[in-house]
Amino acid sequence: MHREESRVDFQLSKTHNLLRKMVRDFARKEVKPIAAEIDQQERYPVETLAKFFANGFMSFYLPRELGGAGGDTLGYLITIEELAKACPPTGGILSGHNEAAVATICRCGTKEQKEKYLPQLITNRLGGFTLTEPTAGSDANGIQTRAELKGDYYLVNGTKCFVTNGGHAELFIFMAVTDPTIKGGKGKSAFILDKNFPGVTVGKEEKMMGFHAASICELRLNNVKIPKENLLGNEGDGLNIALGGLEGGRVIVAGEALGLAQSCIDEAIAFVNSKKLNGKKLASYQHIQFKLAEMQTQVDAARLLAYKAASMIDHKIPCALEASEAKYFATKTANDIASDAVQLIGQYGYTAQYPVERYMRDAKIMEIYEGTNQIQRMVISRALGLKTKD
Amino acid sequence: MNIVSYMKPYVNEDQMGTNIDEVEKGSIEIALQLKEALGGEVIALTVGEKPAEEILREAFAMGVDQAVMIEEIEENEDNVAKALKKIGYDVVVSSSELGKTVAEKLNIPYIEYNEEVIKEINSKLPCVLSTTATKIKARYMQISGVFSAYEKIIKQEQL
Repeated sequence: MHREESRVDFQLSKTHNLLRKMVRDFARKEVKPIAAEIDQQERYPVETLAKFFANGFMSFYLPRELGGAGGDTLGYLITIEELAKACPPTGGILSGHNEAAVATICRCGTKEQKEKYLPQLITNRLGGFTLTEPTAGSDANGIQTRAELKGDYYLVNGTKCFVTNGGHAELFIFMAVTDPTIKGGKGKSAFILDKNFPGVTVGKEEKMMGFHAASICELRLNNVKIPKENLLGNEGDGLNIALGGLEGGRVIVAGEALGLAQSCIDEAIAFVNSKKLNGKKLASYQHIQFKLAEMQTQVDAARLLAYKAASMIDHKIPCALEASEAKYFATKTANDIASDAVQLIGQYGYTAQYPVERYMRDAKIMEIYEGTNQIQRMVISRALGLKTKD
Repeated sequence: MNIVSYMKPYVNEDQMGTNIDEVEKGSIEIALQLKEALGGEVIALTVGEKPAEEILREAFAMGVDQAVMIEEIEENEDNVAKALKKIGYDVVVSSSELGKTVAEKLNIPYIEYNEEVIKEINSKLPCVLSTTATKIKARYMQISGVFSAYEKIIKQEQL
């Protein structure tokens, strides 16, 4: 339990303010103009990816001594928030790379693994993550993909689904069973998988309700030889590696939700300020004013939770509870706000003339991935000291 | 090779916008391209009474090597010319309307440069390069530049 506050500082640093300006400028010029198009065409924004590489987004967390930008979690949250304001899935693409691939190798990789793969990940190769299988979602322990040690390599067979950045990533953090005799987490291991290893096939891309610009695929492995030196940590560390650093991922999804929700409010405000009903501006009606006041309060509350959790990560304070609260509340809020914004804009809001219908579709995934909001409530309730047994 | 990027001190009232405006960003871009082509260092310089720190931090984030701030003095061609003499210059790149008179004060060539990127320029050094083109596509601040901008030292000089 860490309910008591030891530190409260609600002012962002000058660096974080500068970062917000920089990302806002970038998002306004490079991301927003294509957001509707990549949604309609269900197209992965490869051009944005190149710009992410060119401007240091792809090495955001990596320390400077390893060639990275030396950023922190709060800064990353702000970055994702600003990108998500312009295009939520574009923010998601970036997290898949930084959170899942770069940070994991940085945290768990050997010196050789870092020297080999980090330069690739920060110059031109997109990273991804793959744990989920048809039989293992929230129950990560249920994976069946098998990795058998054969001398200096592991022979790997299996199928992964809902692979983050699947169609475009080239280096994956990858989980497989190394010891089927152990039912628990100790039988699973994590690897660095290169898409170019023979036997790796990228399967069908999922058609999704929203997040059309993201690429979520199946990945099939047929007698793939993963070199022994690509094992992350030791055999049996797999789930710890996959589930370590989860707080960061959760806070960042909260950031996606915050950006999306704020954008919905901004759209709704622009609409009620410009449209009239019975000769009076929509904004002049009190029920509209109250509705928007409630919406903004919800988003600002969610933002405080997320910023607090991010700041705790940066100060190395355990924050499983806070990160889950932020993820749960911000993503729930984003869904409420998106629905409210469509309602405020009315029939127009339901059409593709306004971006809020897209935001409403994009918002739903945030309640599902990076631990469903049911999982988040499990984490939160565990921290409350409930007496669950008689 | 000292490539000096001269900028007006300015504070953007819009807290959400950058302090350096688009034309000035273009000017820094040309200075950085010159450095990439010729070597040397880019020094961002401000002269004038308005606060200039945020502008210089943004210039650091874009990639300039050094920043010099001269405060509490009027921004005019005399003072800018004095400042340039003080810090040393081979090329002065600026979108300031003072460029031409500063070049006259220093008795060096003044070139109006309206290309989007650096192409061949024939001039004796030192010179003043005036970049007022709005079509220059400036680079963004770099994430790494943002995270190191406030750790760098802005030199405060007096004339």
